[in-house]
Amino acid sequence: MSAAGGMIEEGTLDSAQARRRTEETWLLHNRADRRQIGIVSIYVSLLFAMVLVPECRNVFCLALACWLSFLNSVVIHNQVHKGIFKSRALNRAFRCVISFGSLYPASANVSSHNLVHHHFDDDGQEDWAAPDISTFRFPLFNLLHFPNVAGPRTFAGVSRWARTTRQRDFRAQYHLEQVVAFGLTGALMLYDFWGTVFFVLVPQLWGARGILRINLIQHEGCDTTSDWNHSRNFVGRAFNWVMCNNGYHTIHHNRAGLHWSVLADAHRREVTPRIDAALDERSMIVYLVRRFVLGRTHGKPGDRASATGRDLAPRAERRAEAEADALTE
Amino acid sequence: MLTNEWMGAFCLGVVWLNTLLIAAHVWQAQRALAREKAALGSVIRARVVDTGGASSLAELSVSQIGRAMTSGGTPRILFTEASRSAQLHGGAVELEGQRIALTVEEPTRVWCVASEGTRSDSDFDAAYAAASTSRGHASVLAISIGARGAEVWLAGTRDEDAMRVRLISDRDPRAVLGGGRARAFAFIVASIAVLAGVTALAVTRPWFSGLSTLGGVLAVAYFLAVQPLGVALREAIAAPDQRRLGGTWAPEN
Repeated sequence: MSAAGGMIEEGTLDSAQARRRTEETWLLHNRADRRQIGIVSIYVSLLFAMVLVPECRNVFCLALACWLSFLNSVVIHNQVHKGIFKSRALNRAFRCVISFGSLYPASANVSSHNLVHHHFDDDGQEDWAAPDISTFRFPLFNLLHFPNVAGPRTFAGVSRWARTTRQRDFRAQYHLEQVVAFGLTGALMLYDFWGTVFFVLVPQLWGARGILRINLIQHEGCDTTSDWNHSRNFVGRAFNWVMCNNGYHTIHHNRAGLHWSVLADAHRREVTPRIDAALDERSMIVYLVRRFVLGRTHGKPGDRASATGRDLAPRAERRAEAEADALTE
Repeated sequence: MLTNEWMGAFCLGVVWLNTLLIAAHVWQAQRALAREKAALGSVIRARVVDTGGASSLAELSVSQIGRAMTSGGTPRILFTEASRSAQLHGGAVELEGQRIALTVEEPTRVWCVASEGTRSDSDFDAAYAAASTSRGHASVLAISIGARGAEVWLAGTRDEDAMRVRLISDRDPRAVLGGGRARAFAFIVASIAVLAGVTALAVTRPWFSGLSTLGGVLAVAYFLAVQPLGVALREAIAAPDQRRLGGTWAPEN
């Protein structure tokens, strides 16, 4: 290695470390994650408020809780990719809280999302939530029905995976999250059965089923063998602010280790020049209406003429990165 | 303020909508089985007299990935299917004293419903060591049907003493498909009947107390149970060559 090369590498390393230092706080790896903690705090508080304070049982609070529940599932997704706290114990406790929020153990995402979904079918093992598992002719039926199939397939797969995992403490953490999620919900049912069913269970299931539907929305009609056209993105700025950049799905698949807060820039830099422009949607609502209500079909995506995958690490390497992230938290 | 009455109606509506979607999905599956049955063509049950130089009329090779089970107990390997291929050799069968020469019509389908498979490897310790790595242990499960003297079911186009075979099975394919359709019908009827009963209980007066609350508890349990049951049924009644083969391997004592 030349001296100049060494200096550049050291400089790059220094700037990366400096950037990390400005991003982190005494508690968090990245200060942007305060948004995620805020989302979960408001959401859980709202659930308890609706059970305990009858005046909170109104359309506005219920709709807000359903929306926050979906965001809680987004937080589960982000948290299981990269724990937000520096403390391992806090990360594990936080997983329990968000598991209650969506009524499923957050650690299920380790296998279902990080290890299986991020692989697509590359390794010959099927994706438990592949878009083609629901096969109605009318697309809206598929959107509604998708969680009824993807959910059981996912949990059967997670249970199978849990029997073979070499990840230390996975089963203990997974069971703890189940105990907290179902135990706390059950305790609330004992306190007020109907209030809990209507104002806790409904939001919980809305979020859990919504995040499953995202698999259909983001991958239906895409080419999972392509390096760039495997996912649909929703690139509206306001949408991505509230969704913690969950709309940028291509770059998330290609670089699973990137923190969600930098996905917008990375998408513009790496994905926009290469992806089929039709896979960059501005608005999810417009897309949902167009696709699932009006029933418009997809064209087969094709790479742009300038598209090359030369500066992208091989898929196997990227999968290994996703696995490493999944197994270290 | 959202009243319990409004929310109760909404939740029952959600459970009914999803149950009807699950039932419709199962209905789709039985329609697919009906189409399969109609496309079988001529089906005969015959005794194998010539395997065309191979050890059996057909072979199914299932590539599996094995992973060491870490959940305690004796060492075992859990397999999941990665891919499969089927091969149907030519040969001849005998039916009511008549010899029928077989030719293969692509794509070939091999249904192994009852036949046992043989693993490509026999050293459990070596397999277990490989299964303990992140790559897992690659293994091939080979299932043969139609050994000389065995009875098989063949579907295809028959012309007197010759038959172009599309499917070979170790069980009557019409019974397999018919049984699947019967289970699908039973599921559809049962799922709707049970939900009707649960609904009747949930709307028993006085609402939201006593029997009505019991109906609510059952409705929640039903909603959580009907989804995996629907998926399990669809997987169980799928045509045998569309079911994924798993299994475990434990050392013999």
